[in-house]
Amino acid sequence: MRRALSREEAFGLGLAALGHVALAWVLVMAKPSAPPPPIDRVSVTLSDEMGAVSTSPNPKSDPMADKGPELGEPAPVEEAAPPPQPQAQPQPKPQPAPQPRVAAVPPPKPAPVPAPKTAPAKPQQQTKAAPKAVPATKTPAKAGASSFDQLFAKGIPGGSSKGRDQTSAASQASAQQVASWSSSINSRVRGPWNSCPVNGLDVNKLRASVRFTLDPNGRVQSIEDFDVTGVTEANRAQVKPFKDCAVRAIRLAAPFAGLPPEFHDQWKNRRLNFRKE
Amino acid sequence: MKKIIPFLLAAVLPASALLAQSAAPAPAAAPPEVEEDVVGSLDNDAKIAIPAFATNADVPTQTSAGSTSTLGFSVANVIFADLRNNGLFQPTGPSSLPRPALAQVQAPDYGSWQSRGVDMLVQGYVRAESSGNITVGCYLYDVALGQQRVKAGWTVAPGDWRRAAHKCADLVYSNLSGENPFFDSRVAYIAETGPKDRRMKRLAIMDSDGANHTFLTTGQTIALTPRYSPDYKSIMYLSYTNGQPRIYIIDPQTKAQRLLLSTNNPLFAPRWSPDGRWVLYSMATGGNTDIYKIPSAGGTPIKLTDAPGIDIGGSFSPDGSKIVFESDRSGSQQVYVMNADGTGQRRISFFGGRAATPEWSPRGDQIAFTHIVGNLRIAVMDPAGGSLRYLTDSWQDEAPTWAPNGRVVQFFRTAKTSGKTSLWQVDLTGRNERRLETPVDGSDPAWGPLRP
Repeated sequence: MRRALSREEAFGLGLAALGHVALAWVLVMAKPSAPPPPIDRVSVTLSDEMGAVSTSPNPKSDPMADKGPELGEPAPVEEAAPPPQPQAQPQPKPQPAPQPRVAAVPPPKPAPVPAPKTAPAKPQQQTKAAPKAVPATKTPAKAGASSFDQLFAKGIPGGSSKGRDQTSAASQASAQQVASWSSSINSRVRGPWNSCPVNGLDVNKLRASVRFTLDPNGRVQSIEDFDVTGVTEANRAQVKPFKDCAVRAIRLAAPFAGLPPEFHDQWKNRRLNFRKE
Repeated sequence: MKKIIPFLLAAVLPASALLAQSAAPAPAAAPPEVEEDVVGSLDNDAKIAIPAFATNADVPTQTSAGSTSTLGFSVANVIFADLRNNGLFQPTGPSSLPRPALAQVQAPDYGSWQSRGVDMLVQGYVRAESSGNITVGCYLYDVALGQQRVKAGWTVAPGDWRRAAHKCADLVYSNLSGENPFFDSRVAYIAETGPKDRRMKRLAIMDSDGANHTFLTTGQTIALTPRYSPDYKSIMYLSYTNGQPRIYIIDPQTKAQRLLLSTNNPLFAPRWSPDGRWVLYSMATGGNTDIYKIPSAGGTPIKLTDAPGIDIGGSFSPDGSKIVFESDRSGSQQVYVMNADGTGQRRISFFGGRAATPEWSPRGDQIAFTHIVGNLRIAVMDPAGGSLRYLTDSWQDEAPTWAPNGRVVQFFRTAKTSGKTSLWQVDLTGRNERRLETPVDGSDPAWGPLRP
């Protein structure tokens, strides 16, 4: 056994060498890899104006089925007399209703629920509920209401939803909603701001940043005291009229209509930056 | 392989860095305050209604306007014209408005004015006193807010009924704009008639709205560059009789005048000091023109400038501590400032072209002057020579003079072909430019202070 390497070792070494050569050949001969595909650039906007909470629609929301409106005059006095009883009765009745709803809530079992089963089930439940509810309350029948309307009074038969949520699907106001509130406030303030006379040299340099709060009805609750900035030697005399006009514009524009009370927290604190140019 | 690993790592690192960035936590709760800009227009959108003033009884008066009823209409019309002619607000006059009853003057029917789209309301009354005097009451209401803003009343001699109207216009203007009043003031100017080579130049005065026009001199001598004294009791002007220059001080009531200075040398541009005790003027001697001051009661002149060339047209700052003047010592006409004793002379106009006839604003924050670059234009700058602002853009506008509140400038304009001169006025924003109606051509306007 003078050979330093056994046959197995030599074979293994040769194999390894062959392998390295092969690898080297592959590495060398392999086509220079094409330039990496360009990275898909996504423009990102860094914004401070982020909602602390999601404003996207609530996936679990269960909007109420479309309902026909109740038409006609309110029912006459005869039916108005026994209101306490019907009101008390419907309260316990809805209780059994949630059970099928829980079963029908989509998220928990989206896949397993066979479509055919739920579809026929709904009409049954609705037809059952409808006769019960109608005799119990008796009041919905208004004078002059058409039978067509009454057919849809409880929702569209076969309607996909039995939810009771009457509010918007979103749990928070969206940016679009916030923007629409802003424009409703801005457009109302701009008129009285323009009709308030402030004029003269360097008036375009004056700024008034006014903080105020609104109550749920859109009325002005309080206006914080503020200083007019951008004062120069030439516009000093206009500072007081400028300030008065800003306050006057807010007072005259209020109350602000069309602000949803359920989002009061999100529009009650406001800051308006007044200027003229 | 070891060499490849760093390479791979290098390739992976940026990606992981990107991942780390995109996974950065969102900022905490946004402030629950909605902020937005309200951008208004600088145009005067405020609609002001000025119905005829009411009266307790329609009785004859000694005024030029007739009975108290017609006087009430005329007073409202003067206020209306003051505001309209100066581009202030959007006024509606008594001709197109219902006349309120006396009881409504202090309790306006806000609803009916709101339905007319009115923002502010000027109401008042006229009452004839047993003495023959006239009492005028003036009220300003914010129609939109349903509030009274300000009120005042004046008892004036029958001949001064227009002054009461101007005071009411001043009250409205001051309350709404924050500026000092200026309507109750007078203007002196040079009325020009006759052919170009033999022009007759007479001293004339009128109210700020052109009413009560009077000629003070006959035209036998040439009158130039008038200026009202601070107390309104006299007007100083330059007179040339057969080439002999004299500075006169005339009493506009009696037309009596006294000679302040007479020399054989050319004299220019006399000006009062703010306290009325001194008079600045320029005099040319041997090709060198310098600025002097002399006590307005008469006395020994004091020479303030001594530079070679022409130093001319001094005008005091409102506190009397400084004088702005014009000098060509740099080679062309430019504006300079010096202390009232002549020390510390320095140039402040560096706008290109030439700068002439500087006039310090009674408020102190601006200097008006004539800027000459091809055309002659009225411009203003701050006392340090900054913030140049053109107020006019015509062929030849010159000789600015300030309204008492320093917010409006009058000047005279020379027509390019005819050479006819006329008086004009423009506010500091340059927006409201208008011609002042005068019976004949006018030049060298001098706006007096607010009437005492």
